[in-house]
Amino acid sequence: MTDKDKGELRAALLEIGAIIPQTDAEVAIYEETNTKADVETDEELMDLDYVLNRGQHLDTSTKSIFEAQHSQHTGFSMAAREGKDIPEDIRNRMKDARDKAKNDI
Amino acid sequence: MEATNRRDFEDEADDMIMLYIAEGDSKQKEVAAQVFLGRYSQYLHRLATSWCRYRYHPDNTARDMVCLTLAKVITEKAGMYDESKGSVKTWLGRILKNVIADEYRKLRDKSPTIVHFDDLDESTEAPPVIDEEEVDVKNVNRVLLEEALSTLSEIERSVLIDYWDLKGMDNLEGRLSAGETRVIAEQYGLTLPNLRQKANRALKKVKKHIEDHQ
Repeated sequence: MTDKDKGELRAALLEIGAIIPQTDAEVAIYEETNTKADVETDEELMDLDYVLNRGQHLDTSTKSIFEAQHSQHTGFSMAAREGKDIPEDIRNRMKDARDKAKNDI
Repeated sequence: MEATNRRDFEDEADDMIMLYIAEGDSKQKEVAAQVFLGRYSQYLHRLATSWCRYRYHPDNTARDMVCLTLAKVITEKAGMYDESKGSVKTWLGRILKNVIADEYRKLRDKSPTIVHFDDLDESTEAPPVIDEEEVDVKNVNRVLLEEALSTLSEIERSVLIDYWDLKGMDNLEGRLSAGETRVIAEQYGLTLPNLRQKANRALKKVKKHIEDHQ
């Protein structure tokens, strides 16, 4: 696999929002395909008191924010699902993308 | 340090907003922080939400990731922003990634064996060598890529994305370090060779799906 191919795959992962952009060029790639409409506006995240209280509480907590997810999928159950349980929003997004692709042909 | 009301701050450039947050008086700090949230909290929320969805974390985890990141900026990091190194969005993306790494470390420290694989070759033998030259991802069709990722188990998908996230950065910016790769490996309870093996196997499945449906 060439360096160019690896860059292609990274760009594709950026476009679909699977990874977090780390350079200005990557932010531009991400923003081309991920718009404000993709995620509902969360007014609480613009409330300074809420953000500081919640953020500082989480920062000092010994509990990881990922803990609930891992305890929900303890043991081998994570590997056993084999992609059968796709979240509805991703399913819808895939369907929209497919429809768009068909219309573009 | 002259701005005193919200309207003054709305007109300020990002680097000045960061300066006010870091070094302003208490009123300036507060108003500048509010302007900062107005400009960037939703962007960060979008990043975190899509990141979580590809890893099956619930949306409230994304909110917590955002609160952690924003609080760190406002209370600790605002004075470190350097416009010459990139935009605020780029800088926030880097802080968000560090937040994710820190939270995985907490998880690992608390329950070091919490994540397992049932199909790993954890034998003493070296894992089979995967020939990366066989995997051609030129002109990746994004629709097919999303479909292909959806055929993987959630653990395969996470490993593939996280591993290739670092791998791609290696080529783009030379940032990949053994330390970073080790964090990803430990996050999944894997050895480094097995991380690479798992990621490459998942990549081959993705490639096959794309080839079969093109």
